[in-house]
Parts: sequence; C-alpha cells; structure tokens
Amino acid sequence: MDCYHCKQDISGNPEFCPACGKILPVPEGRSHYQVLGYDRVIMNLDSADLERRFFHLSKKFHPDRFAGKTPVELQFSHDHSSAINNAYRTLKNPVTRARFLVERELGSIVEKSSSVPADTADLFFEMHDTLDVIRESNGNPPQDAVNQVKAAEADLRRKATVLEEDLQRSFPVYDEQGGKDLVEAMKEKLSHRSYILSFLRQIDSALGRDL
Amino acid sequence: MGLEIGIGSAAQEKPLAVGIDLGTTNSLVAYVKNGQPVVMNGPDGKSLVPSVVSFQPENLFVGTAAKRYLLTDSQRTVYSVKRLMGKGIDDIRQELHLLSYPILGHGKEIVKIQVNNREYTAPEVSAMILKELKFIAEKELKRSVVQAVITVPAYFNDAQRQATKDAGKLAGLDVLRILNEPTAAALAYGLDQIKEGIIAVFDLGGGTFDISILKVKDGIFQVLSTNGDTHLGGDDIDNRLSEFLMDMIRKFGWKSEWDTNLIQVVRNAAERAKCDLSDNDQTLIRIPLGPENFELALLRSDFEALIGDIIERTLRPCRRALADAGLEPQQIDEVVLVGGSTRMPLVRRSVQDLFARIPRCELNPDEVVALGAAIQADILAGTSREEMLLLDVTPLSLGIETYGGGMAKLIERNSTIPTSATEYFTTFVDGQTSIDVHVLQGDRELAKDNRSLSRFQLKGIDPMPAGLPRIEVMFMIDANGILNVTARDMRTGKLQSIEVKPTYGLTDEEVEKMLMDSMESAESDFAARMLIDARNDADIVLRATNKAILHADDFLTEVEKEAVFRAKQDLEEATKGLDHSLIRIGIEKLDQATQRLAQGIMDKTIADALRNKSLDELSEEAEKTTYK
Repeated sequence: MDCYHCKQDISGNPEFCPACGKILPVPEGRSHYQVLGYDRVIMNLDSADLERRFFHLSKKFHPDRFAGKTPVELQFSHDHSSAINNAYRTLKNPVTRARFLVERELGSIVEKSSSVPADTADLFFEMHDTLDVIRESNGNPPQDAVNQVKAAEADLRRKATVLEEDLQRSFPVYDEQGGKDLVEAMKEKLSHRSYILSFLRQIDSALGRDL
Repeated sequence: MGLEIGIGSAAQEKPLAVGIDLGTTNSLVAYVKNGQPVVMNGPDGKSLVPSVVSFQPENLFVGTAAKRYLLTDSQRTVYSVKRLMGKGIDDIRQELHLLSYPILGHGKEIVKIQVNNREYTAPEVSAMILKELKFIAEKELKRSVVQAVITVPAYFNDAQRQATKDAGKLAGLDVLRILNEPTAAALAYGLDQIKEGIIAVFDLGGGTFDISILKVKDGIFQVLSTNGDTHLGGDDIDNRLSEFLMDMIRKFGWKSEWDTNLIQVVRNAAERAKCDLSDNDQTLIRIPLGPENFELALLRSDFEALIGDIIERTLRPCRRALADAGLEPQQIDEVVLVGGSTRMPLVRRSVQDLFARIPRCELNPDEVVALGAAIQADILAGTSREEMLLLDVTPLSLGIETYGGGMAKLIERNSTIPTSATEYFTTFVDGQTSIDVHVLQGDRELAKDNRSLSRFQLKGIDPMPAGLPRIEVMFMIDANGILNVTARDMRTGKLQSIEVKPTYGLTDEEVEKMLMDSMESAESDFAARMLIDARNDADIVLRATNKAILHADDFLTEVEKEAVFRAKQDLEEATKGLDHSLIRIGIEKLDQATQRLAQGIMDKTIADALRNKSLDELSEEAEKTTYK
C-alpha cells in the first residue's frame, strides 16, 4: 500500500507515514486490545497502565491535534480517536471487558441474553407477585410489600456484586490457562448479572424511584 | 480605550482565534494574551454584552444599545434567543407567554421570529450577536478575527449544537470547535488553579443548567459524565418572581390594560431584586404604574422560599452525573461554580450541602466560560500548550427507531467523543431500492419519547430479493458533539448516497442562502457601524480632553495649548461628518497633542502605579486630588 499523500510504500500498518509524517487511516480489523497497543488479550488489566495508554494515544490522535489540517487528515484523526475511545470504554470496565471476550470467543451477543440464576429462581417468582401488588396500589403500596421488596433488593445487589467479583477472579486464571470453559462460565455470570440488574430496574420503577 | 498613555501592544501576527461564550442573557469574547486568557470589553466598557437584538426601523442594535428597547419596544427586541435554538414550536409552547416578540411555528419546522414583517431564524439572530462580538474583538486586536471557539451548554442536543455552528457560519466565523461550557470553565480553572483531581463544575447560567464531572491529570481534562437541564436558569427565577409580582400588582387593584411593555418592566425589577438579594438580606422593589408606584419590601428568606423548588431541580442532574461517573459526592476533590446564577446564596448552600465541601469561585462566574473558550481556541490555533487536551463526552444516547417504534441505542450517553457505531441495514421487500432511517437522541425506551434528530434515506440500492442487500452505516459523533453519517454498500464497497434532513434545523443550502443574503446588506451595515463606533470613541476622548484641559496651564506652553485646542476643534468637526476614517485621524491627532498634558498630570498627581491608565481615569483622579 502507498501513502495517500507522498505515495511512498507504507506496508506494516504504521499510524503515520514514515516518509512524510502524515496521519494514515486506521488499519482494518484491529481489536480493542490492538488499538491500545496490547499484543494479546489480557483480562487482568492494570487500570493505571490502561489509562496511561489511553492518555498517551489521545494526545497523539485527538482531532484537537489536527485542527487546521486537511479534511482527510482530520477525518483519519477522528477515526483513530474514536477507535481509541471505544476501545478504552470497553476495556476499562471489567464487565464490558468480559462481554467483549465472550462475544469474541463464543460469537454470541451477551447483552441480549439474560438468564435466571438457579439459586434465586424462587425469590424472583415471589417478587414478581409482590411487585404487581405494589404497581396496582396506585401509589399507596402496603408497607409489608415494600419492606419485602427492599429486603430482596439488598440481597440482589449483594449477589450482583458477588458475580462481578467472581468474574474478575477468573481473569488472571484465564490469562494463564485460557480455555473455552472459562469463557462459558463468564458468559453465565454475565447473563445472571444482567437478569438481576434488569430486575432491580423493575423494582426502581415499581417504587416510583428516580435518582 | 480613548487616550492611552504608554506603549500599545505590538501587533502579533501569529495565528489568533477567540473564545466566545454565547449566553442566554449575556455573551462575551476573550482571547489569550501573553499566555493568559483575557476578556475583551465592548463599546460601553463592559465585558458582558447583553444577548439582545433590537430591530429598530432605522437601525439594528445589539447588546447594551439594544437592551434599553426591551422596556420601550419589546415587540421588536429579541432576547433569550438561545432558548429557541434548534427548537420546533411544540418544544417551546409553555414559554411562549414569556417572550414579548412574536414567534411563528409551522408544524415540525424550526421556529421563526417575526419582526418588521420579516422572519428570522434563531441562528440568524444569534449570528447578529456573534457579529457584535467579532467586531469587539477586531477593534481591540486591530486585526480581522475569523477563527473562534463557541461554547454551548453541555446538555445541548445535536440540533442545538448544529444551530450554534450555523450561527457562527452566518456571522462570518470559522468555528474551530463547539465547546461545552462547563468543560471550558474547567479548563480556565485548570490553567493555574487546579492541577489534578476530580472536579465537579456546577454551571447555572441565564437559561441552562449543566453539571460536569471531570478528571484532571497529566494535562488531560477528561469529562467523566455530564448532565443538566437546558431549561433551567436565572431566567426561570426572574419569571417566577415576575409572576409573583404580577399577582401582587393585580391584587394591588390594577386592571389588566397594561401596555405590552409592563411584563418587561416587571421582569427588569425582578432581575434587579434577585441580584440585590445576593448581597443583602432584603430589597425594596419599586415599579412605577401610571401616577402611583407599586412598592414591596422583599426579604431574602421569602425570596428563597419562592424559588426553592427551582434550585432543587439542579440536584437530580447532579446525582445522575455522579452515578454515571461511578462516584460518590465525597470522592469529588473540588467543586467549581460557574454562571451568574451561582451568586445566589441559596445556590451556594445547596451545592455545599450536596458535595459536602465549600465550592470554589475565584474566577468571575460570568467570565470563566469565555476564558476557557479562549484557552481552547489558543490550543486549536496551534500556538502552544501541547501538554493540554480536552476529552469531552456526548451528553445523550444516540439511537435509531426500530420497527415497532422502539429505540435501538447505538452510542451510550457519556461516551468520550469522537465516537462511532456501525449498524447494518437490509431490505424488507423484494426489489426495495431505498431504506428509511430515523435517528434519535435520548434515553427513553420508545422512539416517540426521544428527540428526533434527523431522517435519512439510503438510496440507489440495487433491486434484489428482500434481506440480501447489506448497507453498513457509520454514525460518528465528532469532537463538536455533532453527528455525521456515512453509508457503504457492503457488496460493492461503494459509498452510498444519503440525504440527511435535520428534523429541527437548517439544511446546508439554507445556511448558504442566508449567508449570501446577509453579505448583500453587510457592506452598508459595516460602514454605518464603523461610523457609530468612531463617534463613540471620539466622544470619550473629547470628554477626557475637556476635563484634562483644566490643568493645561500647569504643564503646557502656549504653543502646545494652541495645538490641543486645534486638534480638539478638528475632531469635533469630524464627528459631524459621515466619514469614520476622518474621525479616527482626528482621534489620533488629539491623542498626540494631549500626550504631554497627560504625562504631566500623571507625573504630578499619581506615581508610577497608575501608568497605562487612560487619560479620563487620570483626570478624574486629578480632580479628586486637586480638591482635597
């Protein structure tokens, strides 16, 4: 491939043309990890290191650095910058990072799947009824129903936290051994967590809560 | 201004860009001078230019000159136009009664303002304010100013940002960046006040409220989250107090045959009372009503009870911003107050209670946004500051309408910009050659509850069985927070043509046409403007000379005195003519002739501390000293 500006050879996917120094298009098919300069998937990321990379790359590619340059260069800087921002947003949060891994390894979209955690199936069943009672009370819910829901809510928040901690505990293990089983297990945790969170949102709306 | 003693600044010929705070009630322009941002003063010597435009039959007035018509000709005097930016008539129905000028709305189009049998869009009126600021800058800097950073509330949606950018273009500006106001303020504080940490910027202006939470580290200003209410500000407090006063006035026994300007008179009194109560425990409101006066003593505590619920509306956006940043209030290192409305003690107390720390306000809350915009303009003009970088976010989620009226989110709110998302589209019917896409902004589940941004059509798809075509559409929110859409046919790899029609905005063609129209009248406008301005300056210099001349005998020879009188006479003569350049020459000559006089007065009355002051200030000082 040749540089769009000076027509020199630019094989090897550099970000700036080695001959004329112009910013080049984002190479296609780069993963979030590659965008941030990691040579492989690392689940147990050091967040300080991640932020350093993000800041360093932002200073290099942000459109502010290309103000007054040609529209083509400005476009490429937007493309680079947006890839950097999207990668950082995905990887800095352990949950979205795990989701990224699951989608990559298993090809399934976790976001849309949520399954009831087996150990709390009964609780959910009960709560659905109690929530209905609250919803139909026209803003005047029986106190015991509210208490019941609040107790369940605290329990569910704890469970969601435990799931997140479990998830993160599996990161260093995955980095060492890899393996599809681990990814499957992560997927299940994510899916349980997402069920719990959507249920917590239902509680919020039934109780008429708004931050 | 006027007679300057001392050496004027040498013309800088390096790139220059200004920062503009285009506010609901006031606007400002600032630039970076020797590494420090400074605001520039308008013809009245004040940095705040009221965001008011008055369409008088013989002339167009902007700023302080326009503001006086609010009370006498409120039908042709446009204020708070920022509230109309990017809006349709349905968006503003509830506040129509607060605007004294006629507003037209046709269905889902953007609203228009009707004055003197002409219709103006909000960007056109905003452009007039921007032109005034541009003019102020050009006068101060003695060179043409084209590049600018213009600030907007962080919570402005795409249409409002685009409208602001259009206004800049109509004013003949090259808009380098649309910058969020709280981010600009953070930048101004970051220059030498706050170097590291998590800061919350609480920005309560004339018409809008923003809260932004930023992390400042290694020269990077990273916005973590932002929230706000584009309909909450000092205006609402003025309105509340006005309504209260109108009620009292009615009870006072007055009939409703008020002239159309009464609401403005009351609003004016309300605004003054509000400001007064920031410094005093009580104030006296006096409104002339025909032969009598309406009078009311208002206690600060009563005022606070009256507006308490308005101030409370700032708290929910704050809590949401904290939640989105994943922070508790006690994790915030500094809270910064921005916007004139934060002068109210009640606001300060609420902020202090919420964040459990004393908020900072070292920088003038009216000026800090413009100062920050100037710094960003300096960064973008490429002068220096390579260590500083702003990373801002998009305030609202972006999505598209799904089959069945839902919204599929593509970009989450508070994503760092620029950011992009790719979505694939296909056909539902055999032989279908176009696909309609409806883009939305907001966080509600249903499409109809979110803000409609634009509709576009993917056209020219080859006729094929349903589901076979694959069109890749990239939604990119750029560094201004404005959406750009590109589409590509996956099969051929060719770029797909799209026609984006903004729901509440102007097309590029419309902006071009307005620009052409305004160019035609611009030349005559400009000459008239230059004349008014030169006369004003001449007036200031003449007044200063008349005062200083009382001391002429102490410092000047007869010949020198004679020269001053002659120069004075020439200038007085020139101001009667229509040639602004003759007036400028006259000012220059009088300046030279009075130099020794000014020097003498300065040496005598006050020592070196007052060097660089203008003659009229000096002669005032001189008078005081003489009569001691």
